[in-house]
Amino acid sequence: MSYPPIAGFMVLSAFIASFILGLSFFVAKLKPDGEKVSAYECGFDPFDDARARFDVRFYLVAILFIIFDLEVTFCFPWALTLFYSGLFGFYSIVFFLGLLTLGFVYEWQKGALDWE
Amino acid sequence: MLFQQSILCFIAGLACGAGFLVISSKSPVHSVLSLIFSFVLCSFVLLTLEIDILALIFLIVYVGAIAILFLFVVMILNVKVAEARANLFQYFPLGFFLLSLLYFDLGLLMPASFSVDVAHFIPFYLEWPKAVLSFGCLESIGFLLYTYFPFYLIGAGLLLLLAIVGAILLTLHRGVGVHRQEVSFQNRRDWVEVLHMVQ
Repeated sequence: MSYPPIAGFMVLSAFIASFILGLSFFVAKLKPDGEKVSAYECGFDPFDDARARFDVRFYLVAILFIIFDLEVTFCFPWALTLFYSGLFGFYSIVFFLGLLTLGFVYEWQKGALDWE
Repeated sequence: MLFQQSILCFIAGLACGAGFLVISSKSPVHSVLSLIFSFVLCSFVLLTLEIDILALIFLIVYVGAIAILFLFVVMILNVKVAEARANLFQYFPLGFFLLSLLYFDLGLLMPASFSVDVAHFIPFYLEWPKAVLSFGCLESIGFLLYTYFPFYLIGAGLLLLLAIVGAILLTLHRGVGVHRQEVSFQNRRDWVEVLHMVQ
């Protein structure tokens, strides 16, 4: 396999990333104080911590994204070998996609996709 | 071969270290970061074993999606400081039980259920270019998963369906008295009836 070029690229990218990040530490003047390192809100003193809690619906959208991401991942090798796996292989993944379509219909009917 | 194995052991050891950092670091954000690090190292382990497509899937699914979900959990739960260190070992028996279950599964059940007569799978006639070139990782998965192990595929589909239904049941609650956007109503609305001249 041709892994050594990949390793070369990884080392190169790590070097470039650390070089650019390190430049801002070594070239620029560093004088941190309480005002500079605190969370910035335009025009007024920051109200609160920057790490605010937020709605669980973002999480729901992320989970639904992952599920269909995995569905596409399962389709990759199938699409590559469809010619060899025959009708049985075709219908096995059709059944799989049908299960997920069932979930998708449920999700649509429940209104998990629309935002209030 | 020895070189490859030593690299493999090194990366696997680093992954174990990152896994230890996950449970031992005080801030949950640092835990999530070390979790991402350990996922990346696991992907490197798969890359060293030349299972390249699974390594990429690891990066896409675990780092791109699961780690973001963990970040969301950290942001939703609003845990600033970790709880007392003393109760770290109270989960030890449960973890040991799960680990022994995993080893039982990996050592005894999986080899029995995944053994397949590969020589049996030669489609109709021997294709010499394919026999010489040999298949890549993605093709091997495609040859076996959809024809020899369709029940695992269906099982994965059932798990994903369960995840959809469970996530929706757990998190979705419709607020009462919240103005919701109705797209078709919005598009059907005629501006002539809506606009009025104010004298």
